[in-house]
Amino acid sequence: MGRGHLSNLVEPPDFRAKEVISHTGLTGSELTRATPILARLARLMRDYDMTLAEINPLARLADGSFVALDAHMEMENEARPRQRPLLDDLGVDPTDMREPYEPSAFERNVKAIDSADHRGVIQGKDHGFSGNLGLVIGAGGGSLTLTDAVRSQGGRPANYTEIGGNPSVSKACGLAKEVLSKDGVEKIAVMMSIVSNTRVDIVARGVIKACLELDKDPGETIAIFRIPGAWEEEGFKILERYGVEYCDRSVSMWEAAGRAVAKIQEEQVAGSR
Amino acid sequence: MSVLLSEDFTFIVQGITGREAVNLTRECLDYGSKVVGGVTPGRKGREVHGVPVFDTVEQVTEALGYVPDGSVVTVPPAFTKDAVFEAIVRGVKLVVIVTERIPRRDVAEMVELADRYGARIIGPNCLGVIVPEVCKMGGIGGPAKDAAKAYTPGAIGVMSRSGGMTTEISSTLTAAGLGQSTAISIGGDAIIGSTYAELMPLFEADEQTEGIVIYTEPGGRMEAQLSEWVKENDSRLPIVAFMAGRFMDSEEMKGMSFGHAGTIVEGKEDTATEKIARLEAAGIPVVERIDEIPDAVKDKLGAKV
Amino acid sequence: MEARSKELEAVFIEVEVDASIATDAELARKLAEVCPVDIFATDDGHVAIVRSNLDECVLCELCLDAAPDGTVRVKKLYDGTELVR
Ligand code: SF4
Repeated sequence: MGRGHLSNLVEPPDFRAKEVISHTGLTGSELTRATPILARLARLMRDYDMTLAEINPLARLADGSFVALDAHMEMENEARPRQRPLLDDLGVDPTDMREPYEPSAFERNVKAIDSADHRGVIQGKDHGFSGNLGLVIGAGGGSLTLTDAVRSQGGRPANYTEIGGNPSVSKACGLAKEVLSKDGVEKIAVMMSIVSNTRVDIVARGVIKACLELDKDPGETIAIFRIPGAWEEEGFKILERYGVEYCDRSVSMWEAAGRAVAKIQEEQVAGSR
Repeated sequence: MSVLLSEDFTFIVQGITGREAVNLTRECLDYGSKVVGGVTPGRKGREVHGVPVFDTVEQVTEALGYVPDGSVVTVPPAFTKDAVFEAIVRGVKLVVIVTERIPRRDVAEMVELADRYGARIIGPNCLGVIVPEVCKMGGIGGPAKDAAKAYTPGAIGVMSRSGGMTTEISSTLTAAGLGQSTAISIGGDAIIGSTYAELMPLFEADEQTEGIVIYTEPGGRMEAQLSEWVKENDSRLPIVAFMAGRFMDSEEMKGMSFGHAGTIVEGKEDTATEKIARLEAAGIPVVERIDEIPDAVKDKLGAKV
Repeated sequence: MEARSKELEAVFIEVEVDASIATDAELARKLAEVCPVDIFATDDGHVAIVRSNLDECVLCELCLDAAPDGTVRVKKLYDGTELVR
């Protein structure tokens, strides 16, 4: 096998491709013919922001020339804006994000809410989730941690979300409504790691408003609210007014997730009696 | 002592007139950091919370009469590479890149250039670095009064792929009486300027630091690299790890990215299970809950003496 | 997206403007300018309140700074207190 590292600061030169191929033991005209193919592949990878560029298999014809029988390329999403001309050439529509699966209605709706308002960022996914506990959680690392904490304690999340960047009340409300509108979701857990930019009171208003607009009792519907940090005193006042169980940083993310799971399980036991 | 930052550390903010940058500048100044200048092309002569704004990094260094120690870069993704190049070429040795969604090729170029100039990059897609009660470089911990609540001086070095979790973990340590020597939000992208293993030698050389806590996620080779580093270097520092995103190991989640751009399971090596096994094989316990971290750290520290 | 629920206004915040300034065109313009979440608008030289934005109020007090003391009141409906100068 031949392996080589390339500088990103300069155009990949032919000689590096030649070196890598020579490591495989190839020589003679095979080496000289294969070299430009690898060099061009490396340049294509760099010039078009690929995360993967692969020719497999590469075949040699009777006359000694090489042909690619198949190839696989993956372009990084972050580079799509600057690679628009190539994507247009290939007929890839700007809205086609080439996800590994078809986005669900929930995912499409959350995306629409997010792009309609520039304040803050919300993301929602439900592919692979089918539980009964709605999650209104954030931010990046916090969402991963909390989803694990719910599952490890026997909870079944209905979805995954990320709240960040200080969303508006209407955005937080829109997200919570989408989660609450999912089939089988009776309660939501509103949880984040300590926030410094996103405001506790704004998220509290958003999720409570979502309940009220859906004619649900916030105190019943919100299993737990655990978002410590910026404007928490103000947020806690709002939560108190609506009888929502909340906690500050002295209650760990794990414990908060556990309380939410326990509530939904109690309810089910009661319901089945 | 501490790593990366110190009492006299000076830095600038590139993109200082942006909304987020204005907040970040305020927070850093309130915390006592020495923000000595800002750059936004075309805005020379303005001030942001008393910090003078210039068109170029060169102008800042001319006005100051010295090269600032660091720069926080918070400019849109399309302009980040140029801003980082500018800082590095003008002699800045520590560049914290806050910007998200920078194409990987650009990051690879920045990291390579930094290497050639003997500079260090933290990020991209990070909240920066904090040395409790000494200096805060970036949005880490938020407003000064909030940062003071979560971060206290002490002996634990914190490194995290999540900016928010850097604060959550430090706050948990603080509540248990364990202060931090330096906390670093290393960034959530697939390619970052400084990985755990690349930062370990700094903590290793720092007298104040007696133990390390890391926050990790699925995706990438960073944890494997750390395991190798620990095995090869006979580190004096006990490490405790927390792994988030275990749920991503399930088959339906393959190829989906959660949390951060770099958090994606593409192959077996990327999974939480595989990473936990590797870390534990290197003697790094991996806890399941954030609130288990302080005890695990105390265990490790106790075992050492 | 189908409309699946009602939309409520002023659940958490109410803003009141004194009659003495309600017709001050200059002040109306100023209030519309300072409020970061567009709760104030100018309506034919009058101060108008955009009710659908009320709950977005971030309690920044910029409207209080912009108006004569006591003429603008921001009420927090969830605890009965108000911001006033
Ligand atoms: S307090 Fe701020 S957000 Fe609220 S109405 Fe006044 S200006 Fe607008």
